[in-house]
Amino acid sequence: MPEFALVAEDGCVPLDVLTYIAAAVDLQMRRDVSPLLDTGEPWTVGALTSLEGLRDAPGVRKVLTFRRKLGVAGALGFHTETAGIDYAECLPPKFVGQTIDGTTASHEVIETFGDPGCDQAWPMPNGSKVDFELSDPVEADSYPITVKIGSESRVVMVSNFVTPAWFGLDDGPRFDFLGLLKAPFTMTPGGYYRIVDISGAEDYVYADADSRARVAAKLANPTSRLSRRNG
Amino acid sequence: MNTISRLVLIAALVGWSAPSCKTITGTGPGTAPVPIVAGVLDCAGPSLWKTITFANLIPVVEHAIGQKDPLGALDDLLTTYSEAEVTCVAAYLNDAGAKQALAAPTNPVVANRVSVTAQWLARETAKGVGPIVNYGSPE
Repeated sequence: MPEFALVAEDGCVPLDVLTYIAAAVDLQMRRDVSPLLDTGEPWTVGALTSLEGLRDAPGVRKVLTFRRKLGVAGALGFHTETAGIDYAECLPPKFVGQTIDGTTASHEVIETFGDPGCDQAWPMPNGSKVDFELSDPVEADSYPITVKIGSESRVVMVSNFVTPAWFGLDDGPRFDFLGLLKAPFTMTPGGYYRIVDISGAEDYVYADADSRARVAAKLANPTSRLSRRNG
Repeated sequence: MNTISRLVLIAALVGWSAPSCKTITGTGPGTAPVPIVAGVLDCAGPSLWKTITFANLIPVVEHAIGQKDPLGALDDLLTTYSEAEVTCVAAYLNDAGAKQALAAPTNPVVANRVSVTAQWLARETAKGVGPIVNYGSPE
């Protein structure tokens, strides 16, 4: 069993599409994400046909289920934890021809790997702390990974992410994987991050109106990652 | 020696038992069994995939590998899928597992994936199947 499992409810994502997404994100984890972080060995990512037998199989730590309808319209994904396995849900990805949108799955995998407990934050120069959420500041950016299974190659778009240098944790050459950012605590269009100031009050820093709408949708869901942090 | 050959050899040395006598596979209820053919197994061959597609079978095989008796679970798949189909996916997952092991050398999930698929492939090798080609790669 993979440590991070992808499942599609009611066949809302074709199984072959789910498999290509899983393979691409698995490759992204060990090739792109893990080498830039100091958070241990990368998790494996795989697709499952169902949740049947999940609890009897060792290894699974998180399940991301694609559903046609979430509890809150507009929320791309949210999280809950039950019996030692962390569950999240998100809307089905778009796929047109040979190109598949794997950005939401990629986003969830990256952020869960970076902060499985959803409780890490790092100090900023002004004394505030910023959540250790690796994809939020560059949420709208993606890049392609090509996966070949048998004789068929497909392109899966995966999420950009920020590096430890973005948090001021090291002097690495890049602040995000794609090299779009030029300084710590900056964002690309569509990005955002949450901070807690020195008095303990929380606030959000938005790149634009689009990112403000994304945050509002996630906050409206009591099981969202943001809501977990607020709780 | 390629990655799969090395892993098959390792599995043969450390844990592989005598090959099963089972050489007949099925393609589903009421259909004629399809034996696997010795020699090169071309996973991109147009006539190979009769019961399912390559990508659709990967989660099924991965689920079997995660069971308490993974080789038994893989054998059980032969009542639904052909031996060649399962073997192609085993080759794909073995190759992917070897690459995962480079990044996660102490991960037991990865070690199990590599070990189980290597044992399966060793069994196929003992039947004269191989080399296995064109199973693809995520990179």
